[in-house]
Amino acid sequence: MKALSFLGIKGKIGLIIILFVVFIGITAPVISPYDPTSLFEPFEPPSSTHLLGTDDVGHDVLTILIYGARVSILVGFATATISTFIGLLTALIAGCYEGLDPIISRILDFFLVIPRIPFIVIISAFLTPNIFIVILVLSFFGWAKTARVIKPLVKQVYSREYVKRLKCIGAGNWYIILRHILPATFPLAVAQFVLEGGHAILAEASIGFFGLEDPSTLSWGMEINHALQKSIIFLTNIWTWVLGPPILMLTITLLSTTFISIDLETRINPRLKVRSW
Amino acid sequence: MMRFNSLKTPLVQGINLTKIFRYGLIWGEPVEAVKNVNINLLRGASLSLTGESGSGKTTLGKILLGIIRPTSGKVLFNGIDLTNPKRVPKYIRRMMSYIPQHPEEAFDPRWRLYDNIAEPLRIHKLIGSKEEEKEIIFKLAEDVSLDTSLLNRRPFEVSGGEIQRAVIASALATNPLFMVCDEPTSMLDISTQADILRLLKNIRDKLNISLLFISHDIEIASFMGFKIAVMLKGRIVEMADVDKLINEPLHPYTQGLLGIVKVEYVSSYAKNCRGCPYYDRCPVKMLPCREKEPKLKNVGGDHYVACFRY
Amino acid sequence: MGVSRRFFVSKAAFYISLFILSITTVFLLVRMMPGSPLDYLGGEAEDVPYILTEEVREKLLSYYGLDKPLWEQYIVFVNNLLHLNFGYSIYFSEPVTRILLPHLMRTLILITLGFLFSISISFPLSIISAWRRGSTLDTIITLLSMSIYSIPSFALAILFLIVFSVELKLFPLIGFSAEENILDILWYALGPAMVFAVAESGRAYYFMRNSFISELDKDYILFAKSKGLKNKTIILRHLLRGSLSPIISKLALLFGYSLLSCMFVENVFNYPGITWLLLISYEYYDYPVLESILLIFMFTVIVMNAIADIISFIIDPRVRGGWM
Repeated sequence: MKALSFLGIKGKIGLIIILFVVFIGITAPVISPYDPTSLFEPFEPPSSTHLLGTDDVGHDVLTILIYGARVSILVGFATATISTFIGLLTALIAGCYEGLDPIISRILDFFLVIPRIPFIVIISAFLTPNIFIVILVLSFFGWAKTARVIKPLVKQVYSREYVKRLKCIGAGNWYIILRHILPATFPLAVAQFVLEGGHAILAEASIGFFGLEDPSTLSWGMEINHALQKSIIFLTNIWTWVLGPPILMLTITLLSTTFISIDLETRINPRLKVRSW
Repeated sequence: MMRFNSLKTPLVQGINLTKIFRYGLIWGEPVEAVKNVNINLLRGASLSLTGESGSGKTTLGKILLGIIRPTSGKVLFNGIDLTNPKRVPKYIRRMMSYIPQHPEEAFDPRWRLYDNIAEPLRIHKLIGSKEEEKEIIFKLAEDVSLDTSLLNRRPFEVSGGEIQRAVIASALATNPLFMVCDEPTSMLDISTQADILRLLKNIRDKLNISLLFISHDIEIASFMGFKIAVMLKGRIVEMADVDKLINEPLHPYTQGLLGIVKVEYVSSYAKNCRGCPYYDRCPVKMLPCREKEPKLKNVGGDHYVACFRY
Repeated sequence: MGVSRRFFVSKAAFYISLFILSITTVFLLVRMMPGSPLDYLGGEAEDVPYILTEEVREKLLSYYGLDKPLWEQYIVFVNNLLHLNFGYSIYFSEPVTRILLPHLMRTLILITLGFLFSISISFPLSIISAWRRGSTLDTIITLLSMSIYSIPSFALAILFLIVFSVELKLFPLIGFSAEENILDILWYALGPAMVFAVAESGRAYYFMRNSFISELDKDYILFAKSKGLKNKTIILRHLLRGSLSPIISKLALLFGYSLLSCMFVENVFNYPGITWLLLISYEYYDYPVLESILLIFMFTVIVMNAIADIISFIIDPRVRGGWM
């Protein structure tokens, strides 16, 4: 595909890794050695029956790892999709309708000021977050960032000469937005998509880490949280198989999104002069 | 009211148009881009606008197209009011075209030339099938002497002259009645300039289009024939048939543009002062020139000048 | 200078409305949380019904002003804030300020220390990378820094604990003993600060490198080089002057956000800073403390944004002419 040639080495590596993780997530029930609800002896070291041993409750670590990939990918992808979609829409409207711009900008600034984690902490008092609520809440905070980044580009394209010419010869506003402005924002939107996806995966892991998630959710963050409760893991080397794998998987996944987004950004930047940091 | 030919009714009419821009939304220092301008354009006729940068030519053109809303005055197109750009019906837009100053910016850089040219047709849904469209585009390309093999390329892959031809082709696609060309040749080299000018003149004559031709170079502006108007600081200071104006320029500014009279810059002059807009540079100014602004007067045979010397 | 005045007025109005909105949101969210502080006053929720009778409950509620309707509570809340009275902690039975300040200070020490470490690493590195853009050195440093940036900060903290506390037994594993003087605090803050520094330096390095690169591309640098100036002079005299201002405003923003991003590191180390207080007050429904902490978070971000705005206003005249 033409899109793939867009990426350099870093991006390609990132893409391969993330596709690998997605694959794991999708095929989880198939490739996982055990059912995630089955329990065994806790703290068993890695053996032929449990490739990565068992955790503090008795879950098979490999199983948790695989199902955790499913959770992370789901959250990352869904949040990125919703945020990018709504953020793009907002940026288009704010950029092309001069009258609405001030109000929308104010709203965006308000959303950007709200600190994510503390508010997630508070919200989890109202309802224990399961995956869908996490996705909802993260998208709630994420769309403003995307909109804020894309809006200047929209404004820049909208002020170009060919847009004025099209308006002169009778093109409607929405025609111009859909046929000309939207394609122009596409590279930036994709970059933001990947960035938001990475942030969402990190955020979900953080929520799990603080222990705020629904216990039935099998997330890498929750696993780390459980592991940290029992300090015995540090006195022996149990931490190598209970803490190590989830942290490793999380890091690799985040690495891949970071690589892809840096790669995309270096390609977009010289042309459009819009920073997405 | 001035008329080019009193037997016909004008296609485009601008009545007492004034446009004041306020720079910066907050503290607005007013700038008079266009002041008290009256224009009448008949079908098939053309009017050239000339003057230095900042004289208001482009703004006037955009007002007459119904893109910019004048601060006061009215614009009529075939009797339809264009004064409020947002209220202009779509079918009117079909009858007008605009060729902007920078040809490379006139097209969407991501689209092929073919699609860019075809766009006006698609917007107004004038063509049924792909084959019909292809025929028309090819014919248009021929009309403007554009190599049809270039139609598949993108704007940055062709030269300035070729883009300009493509822009003209696109402008002609909907068979417009009125066309505004804003400095169509300023960005091109000399030989291409001549080609494009000849092309535009041919088109106007063949298709009977009303042309508003804008150029800061008075010689280029006069090439198009018919009438020419000289603008300075938003006002029209002289207007006449092209031959008359070139051979017998009356206004000192016109004379300056033609290189006949030396121009001297005399005193500092506040921007929107009362008197004649040319006061600060006029070599033959008189006493009343500072106090009152001269009005456009017909000094014989449809030759209008705004100067107290006449 | 009508322009600047209008600019300031509009920005000020914006930020004030942001403040008001934040206060209201925080208040509403916190007070509408299901559950009540009284459940935790005497101990865990299960024990309390035996200890508190109905009338004691009512007395307590009215003492803390919690029996009034929500809008009345809101007015009291705002009024108190305007007098800089942050209320009285329900759980700790002390004025909130007395609880808040020591924890806040410890967190500030942590992030300041961490920030200084981070800049002292990322600043020179980013200059070197920008100067030798595209070289192997630059690629390696960038890749390394991006990889470290990808590791979540709590993971870095855990890693640090494992390496230094478990294996090498250098740092204390479990939190604090009673520390009174500043040296003790610094010693305990050292570990978390270093982890925090490493976690943040990736981001700082990246954007500083980008700023420097775009500045180095400018013509006057080429001119300076052609004049034959030594590299060091070019860097110090020209490059820094041009690119320092946006970097400083970005760093100010980053510092403001550090208050939030240090949450993970503090949690893993069980550092008695703002995070600990937040989680405790959340668990025990200690409204005044919880609200104060949230307000501090939001205010810090708002103020940092305002400062960044002001800095860029002073530096870049182009910002002044526009609206927003």
